[in-house]
Amino acid sequence: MGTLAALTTAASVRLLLEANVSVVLEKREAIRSLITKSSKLLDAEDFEGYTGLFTPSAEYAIISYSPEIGRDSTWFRVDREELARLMKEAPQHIHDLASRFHLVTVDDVEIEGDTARAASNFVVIRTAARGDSSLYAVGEYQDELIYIKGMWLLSNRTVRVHTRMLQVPTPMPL
Amino acid sequence: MKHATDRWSCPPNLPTTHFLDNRIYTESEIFSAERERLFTNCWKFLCLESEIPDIGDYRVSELAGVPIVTVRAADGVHSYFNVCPHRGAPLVRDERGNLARGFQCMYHLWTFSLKGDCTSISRIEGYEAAGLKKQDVGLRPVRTETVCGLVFLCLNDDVEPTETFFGDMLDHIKLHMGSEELEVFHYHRAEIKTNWKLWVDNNSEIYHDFMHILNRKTGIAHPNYHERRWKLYPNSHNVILEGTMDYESGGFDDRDRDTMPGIGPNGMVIMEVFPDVMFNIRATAMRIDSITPLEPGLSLVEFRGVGLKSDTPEIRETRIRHHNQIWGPAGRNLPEDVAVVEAQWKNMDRGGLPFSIFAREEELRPHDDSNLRAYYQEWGRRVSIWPHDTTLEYNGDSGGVNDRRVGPAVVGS
Repeated sequence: MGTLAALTTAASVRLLLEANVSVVLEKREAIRSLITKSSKLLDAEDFEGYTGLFTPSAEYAIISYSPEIGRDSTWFRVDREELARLMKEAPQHIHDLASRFHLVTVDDVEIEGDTARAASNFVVIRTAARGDSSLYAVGEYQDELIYIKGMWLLSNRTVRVHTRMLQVPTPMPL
Repeated sequence: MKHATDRWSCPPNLPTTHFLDNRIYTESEIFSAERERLFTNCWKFLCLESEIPDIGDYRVSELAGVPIVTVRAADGVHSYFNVCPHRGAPLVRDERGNLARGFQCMYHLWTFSLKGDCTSISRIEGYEAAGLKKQDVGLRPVRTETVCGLVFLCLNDDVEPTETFFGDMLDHIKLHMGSEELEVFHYHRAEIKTNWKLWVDNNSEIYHDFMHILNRKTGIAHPNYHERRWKLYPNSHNVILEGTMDYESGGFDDRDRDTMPGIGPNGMVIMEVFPDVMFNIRATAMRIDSITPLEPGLSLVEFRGVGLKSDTPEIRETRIRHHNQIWGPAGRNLPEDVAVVEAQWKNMDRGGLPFSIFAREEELRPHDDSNLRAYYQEWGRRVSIWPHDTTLEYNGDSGGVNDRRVGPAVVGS
């Protein structure tokens, strides 16, 4: 009888552990999916969809290290409202007519309750109007996320660009 | 139809000061002449002194194609060819760093002091028979002067000092840069597929504010924008005197606090220093552009965002934000400027447009082209080529012109 109870407890623990692992994996997958989706929305120029992935108080920044002055240079740091405005105004500006294509690998996700951090690497391929493609930018996303009303949202995205000389500068997010 | 075609390919019916032969932007021969006659004989901005604050701090650059290293020594800032006098290896390879112990060539480990003297030669006894001594092999110095915390270089030892070169333009430089120590908070560079002078034109020509939606809303739409005046100085240093922008009209916050020295709330001043430097101050932030021409159609532009060394973190944050709203690789205006100058050069290089027009006369108001006309006359004088017809040798002082391709026959002025 004692052996049976022990076996039952072990099975319960195992089930619980499996359930917990499953929940964690589901959360990770949801976060991975969100990050991938963010780049797909940018590539599709669905700017409303893109900013919808951020919390209302979220911050977005692009930063590069400038060895010439030995410190970081911030390319821009905006809240969601300003980010949405930038993207809305984009068609009114003289802008790059090329398309962009992101390749993202989500390398690390750390979840703590309803908040999470994710680190990803990305490359952006630029395809000019006449059809030639070239490497446009290489960098990292350092994301902070929060779980609100059944979904994960970005509360902070810092883009660390390794590419410091863009072939074509742009006010659009990377 | 034929009339329109002829008009397209003939010089415009304008005074020769009011148009340019676009070959000044595209021809390799003219590019070489610029290196030899202009950039070798002109003061060239390198960096802010505050970028090399400590003894041994150095920056590398290129001047008229020559690699240069500029270093702070105990007695001030010095520059040298970034070349070991032994076999031509570079003395330093990083963009910047510190040489507290002096230079050491990576190839045979010869060493040099920050004042350029050779301090050691590996196994020097091998040179005894030939009579070579350390004092025979110092570094090649390059003239270096600092003005209001700005470092300038010149390859020609006989060129006038910076104070004479800038003349009365120095008053403007002192007003905005001479009272407080400046600090670079943003640096990036871009290789722009255009001729270097098209970037100068873009920085100097305010008429193109029409291209920028931000400038249309915050500038052109307001009467006081048009009341400013250009002030032109000898050697073609030019400044557009202070005017105010209406940032709120563009949906931005006012720039009415913590303005840079010598400039009022929402004020804007642009100083152009011949041949390639722009100091653009928009009330709370300054941008400095400098150019290294690489090829006729390729230019390295260095962009600096500048604040004050005394900034608090809050003030610095505001300066960075204001800088990035308009400038920087992700600003609203800079991508537009790059797009247009690259497209311009491509068209000119393909022979799409033989002449450019600089014919606006508006009593030195912002959209007047007088500053550009003055610039190209100075360019022609220094490069010895008439900017309106590159087949002609500039001979302005004697009133005549020669065909520079076939010899000295006078063909008219």
